[in-house]
Amino acid sequence: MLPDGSMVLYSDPYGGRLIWELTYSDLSAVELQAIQEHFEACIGPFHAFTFIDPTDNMLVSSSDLTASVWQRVSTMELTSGVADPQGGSSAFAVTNAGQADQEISQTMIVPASYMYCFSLYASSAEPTNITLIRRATSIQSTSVAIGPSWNRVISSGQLSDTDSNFTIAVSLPAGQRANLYGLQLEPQIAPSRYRPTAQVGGIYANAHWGVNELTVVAQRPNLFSTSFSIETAI
Amino acid sequence: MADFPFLSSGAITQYPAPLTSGQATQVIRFLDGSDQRFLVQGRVFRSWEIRLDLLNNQEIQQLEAFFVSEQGDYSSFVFPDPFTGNDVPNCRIGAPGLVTEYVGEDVNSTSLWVIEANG
Repeated sequence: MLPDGSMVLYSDPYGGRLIWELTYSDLSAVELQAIQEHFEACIGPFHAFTFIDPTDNMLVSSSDLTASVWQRVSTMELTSGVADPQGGSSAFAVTNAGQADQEISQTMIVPASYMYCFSLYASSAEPTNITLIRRATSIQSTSVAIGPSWNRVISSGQLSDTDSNFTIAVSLPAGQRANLYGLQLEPQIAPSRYRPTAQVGGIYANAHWGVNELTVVAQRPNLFSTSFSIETAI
Repeated sequence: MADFPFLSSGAITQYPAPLTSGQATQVIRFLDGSDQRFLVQGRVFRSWEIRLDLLNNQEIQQLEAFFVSEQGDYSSFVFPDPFTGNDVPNCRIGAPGLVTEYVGEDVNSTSLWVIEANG
């Protein structure tokens, strides 16, 4: 700031950062050890790691199923601008014009063994079934019946494999049509409110510990607490 | 070399017991959003905050005597890590002063940091 009160400013278009302040209490010794081992493996802020934002939707372009990150065959036809359950027109009508079950899917580079919850809103003019899929080397499928009313359907659980790629998909039987909205993937057991995403989802492959030192407090035998920050450039 | 005094209960510290560990990293951020990181410390060091309340006169006297014998933060000693039970060499008191509080008759408290060093 200059003496006359005016200011000289320079923009910093690449200086944006996301910082998560994480506080844990009532941790067991095993849980605390997992955090400490990760901190030591990264040598604090030295090495990067992939961080899944616990407050965000992991999927990229959840509000645009036509984006290239969504994989589908050409016979899986999409129509945008369909009325959605939140009063807008952001839902998609998905029609399987093929002769067999077809799916629309997205693959992420995250550990397949984590607990994930895949959720979406679905409806259909005619009663039908859609299948929610979570897969890596192994696969878990959840078939749900949908009808004219919007329903939030979920598929939640852990895969028992060590793959570092994880795919979610919605499968439709041949000749069926469904309306889809609010696709969301979260690293937890149940869905939270829908968070639409565009070019960036809640997976950050270049995150760092934001602290040079990790402080843990032993509150009682086998009961610990800690707090720290994790940050990433955006 | 003096030994870090144990309380009359046989413990080193009381709950809550904070432990800090880390290896300092310097980060240089560039205008394009990238950064360069380098370690400024050769290995991980730990530090323990020893918070002690309801000490009797003998316990607080032992701590004061230990502080004097160590010449504050000057001398190193072997510290029995209360988290692991292992002896940690090359530890020092983390400050040149020690505040002891006489709360009541035969009731005292104090707090100090013990830091691990390389030598």
